[in-house]
Amino acid sequence: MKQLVFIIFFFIITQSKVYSSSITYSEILDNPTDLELNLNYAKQQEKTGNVKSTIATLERLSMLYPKNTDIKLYLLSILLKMDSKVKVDFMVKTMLDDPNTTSETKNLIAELLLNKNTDTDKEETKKWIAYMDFNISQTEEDNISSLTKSGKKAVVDESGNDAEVNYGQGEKDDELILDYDKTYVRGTSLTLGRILNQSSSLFMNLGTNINTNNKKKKGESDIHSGSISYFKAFKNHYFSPYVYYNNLNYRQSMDYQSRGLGINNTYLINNKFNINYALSFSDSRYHSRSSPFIQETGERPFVDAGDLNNNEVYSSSIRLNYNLSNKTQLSTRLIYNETQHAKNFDSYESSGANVSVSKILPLGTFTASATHLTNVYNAKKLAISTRDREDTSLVTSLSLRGDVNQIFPILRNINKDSSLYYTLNYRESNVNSTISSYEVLRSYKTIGLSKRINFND
Amino acid sequence: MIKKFLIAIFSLVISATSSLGNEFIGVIGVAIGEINNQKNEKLLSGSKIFYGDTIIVKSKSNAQILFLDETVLTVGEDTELTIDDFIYDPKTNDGNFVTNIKSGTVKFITGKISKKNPDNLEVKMPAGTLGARGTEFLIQSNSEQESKVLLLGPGPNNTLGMIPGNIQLSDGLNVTSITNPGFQAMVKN
Repeated sequence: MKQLVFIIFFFIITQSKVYSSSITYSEILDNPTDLELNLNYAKQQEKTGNVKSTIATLERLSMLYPKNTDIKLYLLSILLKMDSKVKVDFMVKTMLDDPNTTSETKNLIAELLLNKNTDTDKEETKKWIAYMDFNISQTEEDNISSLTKSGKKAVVDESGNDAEVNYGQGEKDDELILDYDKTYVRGTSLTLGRILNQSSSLFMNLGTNINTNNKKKKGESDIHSGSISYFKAFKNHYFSPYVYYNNLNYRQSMDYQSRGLGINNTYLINNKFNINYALSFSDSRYHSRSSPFIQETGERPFVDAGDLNNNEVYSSSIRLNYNLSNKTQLSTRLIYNETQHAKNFDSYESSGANVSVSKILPLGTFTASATHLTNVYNAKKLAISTRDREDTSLVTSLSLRGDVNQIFPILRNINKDSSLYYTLNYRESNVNSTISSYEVLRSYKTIGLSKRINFND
Repeated sequence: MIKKFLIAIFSLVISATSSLGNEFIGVIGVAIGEINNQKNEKLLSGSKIFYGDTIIVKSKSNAQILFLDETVLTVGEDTELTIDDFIYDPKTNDGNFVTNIKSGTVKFITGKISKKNPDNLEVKMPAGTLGARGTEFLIQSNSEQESKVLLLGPGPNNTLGMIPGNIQLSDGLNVTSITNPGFQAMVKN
């Protein structure tokens, strides 16, 4: 860049006579082809802010002296400031197509264009992004209370042996244990983003969700969440660390707060392959006043039984994405998680893999996914079984997401800015375990709508 | 008496017209190739342009014309245009500028007449008319039936303090505006 500035400066200085007073337009009309006079006039007009006159003069000189690349570079620098993409593109193309343009000049053109982009970055540092999402969804679940596949649950009998028993009389019919139910979610979130420069940005998200069930009251909740994430690109490597905090208020169960942090980074190998790797930590703290006990003295001291559910989760995954085409992506992911629970028999190590395929269709983006995990528990839960617990789960899902205009073109008149999205999802979870109480088959059918309001438009 | 009066008036009009015709309104800044006027006189760099002149730029030729109000026309090959009207007061920048492009390609950088009063710059084309407000634009008329207009700039993110201009294009019945640099419109007969 220094070289470029020097050349333009040197060119202007060396080509100039010293003019005692400002050059008038009349002098230009009398001498429209005089290189020195006109070049000085161009510079003078640039200083006074009459850039149109500078451009006209430099264009004239460029026509008169077509082999003088310094004039063209000077003109290009003005056109870049003028923000006329059409003229810049034409000028650059003309110069690059000119066989007389040397490699040094081409480098100087590149520097000018690069410098323009840097200027644009500086402008973008002031840029804010803000949008709000409103979501509603309904999930139909065929086994909301996790009834076992065998219809029985494991127990340790009076003699200390493992046994299986049926669910208690009427147990399945009350509001606590059900097969089928519907869950409704209404949520909203506000996202604020700050573009720091061309390669980095900072985002903050605040959201709240209200979850209600049609029948089963246990499990209904209000969730308030917040997160901050940072994005930084180093060439082909994209880094995204984040922190979050969730406050879950369960209406008939223990509340808890969950906080965590993590990274979610991606490395682009080439146009076809990229690797995503993620690490995270979460700490969930439960609180409950639902289990007070009465002492012999009649006092009811508070016992925070929720503490027994506190847990910390360490998660890691590495995913390889392969773009089969512009519309199809294949992914495979290796997963390893460790859960440390306050109750040791609920602590476990989880490992497995996920494969998925995504395809962009006229109706939306279709994704099929399967995840197999093996959970090995740290200790036996002797109240249920004397066996070591090991669960294997297979979760398969099919989803279609997109703009509602894609499935209902008639809505284009209403959804003019294409900001109303739909989600259709079917998911099945099949868990096998060494202990029958945990062998559960569940399926979920979800339909959702999401409306985004952009405050930047 | 009446006869003398009419002669005097007629003489005055002739004199005024003659005087107007002798005052140049611009110069050819660059002439590359074969550039002629309506009298088939060859125009060179520095040649003066007069009220009512027709400029004819032949094949493989181009030119730049500088007007007194600092309007600048860059004229491409196979182009013919006439200055239908040019009145300019340099003290007040008031004036009127009407150009008639019969064929070819012309790039405009608007000058002081347009800056003072944008309505006083008019460009006639085979298939319509155009008014411009403080900007740079290109007109291409390849036939009697069709003209294209491209707004060149300045862009909204220019760092020169330039105010983005706009163009109003009319086919006689309908009017359309171009406000985004890089966008073009077409008028057809």
